[in-house]
Amino acid sequence: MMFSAVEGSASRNFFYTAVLWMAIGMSFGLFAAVLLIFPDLVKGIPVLEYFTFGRVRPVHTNLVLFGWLSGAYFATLFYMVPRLSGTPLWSERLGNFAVLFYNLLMTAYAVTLLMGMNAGREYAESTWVLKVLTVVLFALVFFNVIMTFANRKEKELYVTAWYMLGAVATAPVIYVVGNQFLMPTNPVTGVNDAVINWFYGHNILGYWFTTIGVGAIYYLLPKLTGNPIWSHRLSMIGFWMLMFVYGPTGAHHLVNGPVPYWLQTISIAFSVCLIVPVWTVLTNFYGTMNGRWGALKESVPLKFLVSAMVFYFITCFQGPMQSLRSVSSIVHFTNWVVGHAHLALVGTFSFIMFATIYYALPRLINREIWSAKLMDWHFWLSLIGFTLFFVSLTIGGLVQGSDWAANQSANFIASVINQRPFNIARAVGGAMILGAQLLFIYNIFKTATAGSRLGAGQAETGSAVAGV
Amino acid sequence: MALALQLLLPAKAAAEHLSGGASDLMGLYGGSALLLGFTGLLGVLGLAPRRWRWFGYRYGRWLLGLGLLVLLGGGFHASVVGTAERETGDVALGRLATQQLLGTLTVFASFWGLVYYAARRSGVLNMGESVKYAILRNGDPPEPTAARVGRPGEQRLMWIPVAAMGFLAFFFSAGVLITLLRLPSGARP
Repeated sequence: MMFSAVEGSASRNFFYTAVLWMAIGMSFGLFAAVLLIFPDLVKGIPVLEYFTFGRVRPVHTNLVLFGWLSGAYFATLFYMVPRLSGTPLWSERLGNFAVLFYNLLMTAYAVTLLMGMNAGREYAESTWVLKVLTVVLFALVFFNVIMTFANRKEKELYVTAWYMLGAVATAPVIYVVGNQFLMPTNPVTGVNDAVINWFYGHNILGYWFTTIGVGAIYYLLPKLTGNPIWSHRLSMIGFWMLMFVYGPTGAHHLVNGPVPYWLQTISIAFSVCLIVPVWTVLTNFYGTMNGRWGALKESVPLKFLVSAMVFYFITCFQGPMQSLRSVSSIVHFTNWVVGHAHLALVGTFSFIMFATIYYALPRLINREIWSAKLMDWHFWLSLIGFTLFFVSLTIGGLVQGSDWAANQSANFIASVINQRPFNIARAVGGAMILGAQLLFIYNIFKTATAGSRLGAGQAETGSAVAGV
Repeated sequence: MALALQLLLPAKAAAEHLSGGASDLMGLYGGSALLLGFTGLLGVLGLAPRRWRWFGYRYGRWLLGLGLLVLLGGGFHASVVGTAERETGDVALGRLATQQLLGTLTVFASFWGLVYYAARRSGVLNMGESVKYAILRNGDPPEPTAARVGRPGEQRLMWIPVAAMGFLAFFFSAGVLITLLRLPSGARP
């Protein structure tokens, strides 16, 4: 048969291909950062005319969001949902078909965006045909997940299951509505479209990336520490608050802009309220880790998770702060916002996925990670590189904001030139991050081809899923 | 301290711009209310640190109530300070904006309230603590580090992420405040 039915194969294949798209997407990101330092790098070179900043940047964002992070999330769903449900994935064949579909779709994303076929909407640059196909991809994955839950043996739903069901229920709605119901020509234009775009742009972060990421934390922390989570009741309060509070926050991207005042105020108020669900996660994190901090010295996945918690806190500290009108008037459109976005997507959710892969992949392929030393290098190079990256963007953003607010519009170029040292630091940080991921991919490759078999105590009991 | 600064120097934090002007006073009141409310919630749920647990049980509800008072009182104070609708005197615009605001909140609260009600009625919503042990018995074995015996003094490692969070929060707040205060007075938001 063309598509494998082996248990765990769909999850494994999604993990393998997601990390490849991560390398490609991050390479485009590094190239974009280099173009900010040497803007004329590809000028006058015939083939490289496709690689201008305006084309490279959306390729980067789409490949890291949909290629890497969403691919890893599909893999995480296919790994965790069966183990939470006590039953195998409903269809490994459908899952593997989704893997093939996803890889073809990501290739189409890259090619069409490089050719300049850009819809001009943030995080939704792909053409409407590809958007329709993206919805099909979500449907293929989510149908499999829903059927697995429907056939579950484990009747009680652990908080991770709630987060994953929440993602399945809300992400397609946000994608379809936020992309104007996938019409070939956008019926809504101008400022109204900006409102719809940011309904999509921000809520896809809250209802897709945050839900799966936080759900994964709640799964991994007990597995890495041996402690059950500190308070399931608190985690459920956090889940329901997230579901309730995240929706109206999108318009905080348009604060101080030509959108209704009341809409901005709602978005600001709900953005501040988002503090509470974040605090429930952090309280549970510290409570669960209590007495188990020694494990941090020996566990690289735990190092990634702890770092992710720090970045998650700071992302959600910045968010409410920068939604305030006075702060937004300084940081809006600056590199501060770029730093903030990367804090969420790299520092938080990508770090969580690294921990997930180091945990799940050995169990899926029954092999130990090939090199513990490479794992350490991966962690420290990622952490140091990313710290340099977001600190330079944050300080650079504040410098930009103060340049513009002090009426530098008469001398805009001065504010651009002032950014040069920060752009250089950002590119150096980005190069370190990419280098770390190349080590990671090499380690994964060697694990798959030459890793030693897992010991009896580490292999899953009976079948790959729960309760046996 | 931030709230005190806002009350003493409200004009400097006011955002004057085309879509209306209002201070971020409500943001500070909201943040304070959330802090009080969350502390109260931890107390009510019995999740305060052991030494403070009695305090949480006894005063948790009071803290929740105080948070609500701060929110409502702060809203009143912020609206007294002034909004664009009041300054322009456009009553019709103010009424329309209020209707839209209330309408949005009603639809949103109704939808999610219905979802929560349906989940509780069907018995699917399980807030009990027993479910958290399910993850440890699901056949997916924990990492070897989960069985590691802790050594004396390792609990101090907790202070690394705590310090990192504190430092970064201070760094970002200070950066924003310094940027705002260093602007020429005519350029300040």
